[in-house]
Amino acid sequence: MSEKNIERSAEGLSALMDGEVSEFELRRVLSEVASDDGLGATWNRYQAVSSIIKRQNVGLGAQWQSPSLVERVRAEIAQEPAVTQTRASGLKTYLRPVASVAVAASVSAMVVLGWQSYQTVQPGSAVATSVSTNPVVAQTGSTTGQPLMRVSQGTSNSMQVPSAEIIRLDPAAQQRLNDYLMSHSGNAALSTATGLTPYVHSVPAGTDSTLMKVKVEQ
Amino acid sequence: MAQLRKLVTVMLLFWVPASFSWSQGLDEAWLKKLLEASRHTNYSGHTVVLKDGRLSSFSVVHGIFDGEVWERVVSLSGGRGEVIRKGDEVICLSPSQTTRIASRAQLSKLGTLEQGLDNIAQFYEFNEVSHERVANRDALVLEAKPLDTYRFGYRLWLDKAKGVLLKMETYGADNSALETFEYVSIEFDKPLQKSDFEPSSTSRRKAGAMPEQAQVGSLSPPGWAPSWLPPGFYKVREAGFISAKSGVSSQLFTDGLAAITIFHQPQQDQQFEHVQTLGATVAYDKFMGNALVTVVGEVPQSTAERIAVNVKAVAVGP
Repeated sequence: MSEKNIERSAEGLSALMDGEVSEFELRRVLSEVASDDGLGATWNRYQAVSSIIKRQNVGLGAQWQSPSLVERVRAEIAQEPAVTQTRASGLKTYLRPVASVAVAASVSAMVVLGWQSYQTVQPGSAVATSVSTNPVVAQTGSTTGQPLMRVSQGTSNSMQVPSAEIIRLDPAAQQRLNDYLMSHSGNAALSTATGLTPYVHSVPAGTDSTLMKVKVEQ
Repeated sequence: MAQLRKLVTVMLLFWVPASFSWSQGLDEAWLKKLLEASRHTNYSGHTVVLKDGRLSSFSVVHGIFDGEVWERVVSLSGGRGEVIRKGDEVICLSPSQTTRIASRAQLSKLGTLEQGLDNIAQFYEFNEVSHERVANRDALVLEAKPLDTYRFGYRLWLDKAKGVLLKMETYGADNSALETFEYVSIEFDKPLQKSDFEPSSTSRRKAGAMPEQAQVGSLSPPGWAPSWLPPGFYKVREAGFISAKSGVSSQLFTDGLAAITIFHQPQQDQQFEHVQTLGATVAYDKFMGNALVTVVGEVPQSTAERIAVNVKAVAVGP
């Protein structure tokens, strides 16, 4: 973009901030902002300055909009070693590859729904997994035997965890841990000063919307 | 402060639940009052529990029959389920038959909770934070701040007149609540019948036959023990399952506020170790030879992990 164009675009942004652009001008400015990271950064700065002048909190949202932060995250992810893995054919029902899982999707899902689960492979078991990082995936319907749901969000490939795995959780294991949890809670109620509360922990809140988070680590 | 504690301890010896008073000091005395309140007070009400961003609601009935605490907690939202406690017997009923579990204390000679509470001030700093209204009742807010990183902190809202816990927050290292439990309505001294503690017909039908008490009684010595526990935790219970989980033994430890149960499944066919968290509760698996050790408790995951890796087989005496 020529210097003149940059200047013109910056003027356009300024006018946009002040709400003084025509519809035609608006389309042009938005189109330029979309295609030009520099203009996008300028727009962010204008907004930040405007927020501060108006005594509004810039907030975390603005931080995430910051191209420099996104760049840092991209760089961090690029430095992560690639994930490779082999697995026994008999475990295909448990281990399924998924092309990509967005970090943001899994994190936000975690906030909404309950259980987290991290699963590690027993040493010496049939599963030989060589994972040099900790891929994180999300799964729904794990306790009801429903098909796995792939979670994906965003369009930027660099924001995706490479070669993460979804593991179908063993319903028997899930049942075992639920049993343990209930037993623990029932007994804890008899054995702590607060008494009742652990009971309330124990009653299952329903398995229909249970979301499992699975991590493979070695 | 030391003198105050002695004074509090002496006063506690003469303390009668009916003459409930909040003027006796902080730390362990409060918890003993709480314990006494639960053993001498009838109440019923509705609670909500917020954990991992999910809100669940329960109805609670709590009464004293034959000198024992009876309690029934019924899930009102999400999946159906209820927990019924009659003295030392605990029955958990849920739509899935296999989650039917009961367990009870095996060793009455183990240290009682009251004895353990004598030392709790070594592990938590107690402060009176404020006064608030919960479930339309006046409550005193106490904070139990952990003095190490092995356990969580608690904020307790105690009914000023009755001493009953009206609200509780469990918080982690960043001081944010991991889970919150709160009564939205509570009624005291309402006449209760034993029939108020029977499972609903739906729960009973779905859970199958009620567990028989006799099956719980015959437990052999566990043959395993934790070689490390966070300071202040002591054993209060050994228990067994009534279900298809034959062979599973468990031991329960507490520091007075947090509880940890260690499960030991001798012959197991698990291929994976799992770690799960639900609110403030973590379940942590660790293989020990052919056995699977699982630590479940309201403690940070790092604490559960350290306990799990330190469970060892011990010789069973004659």
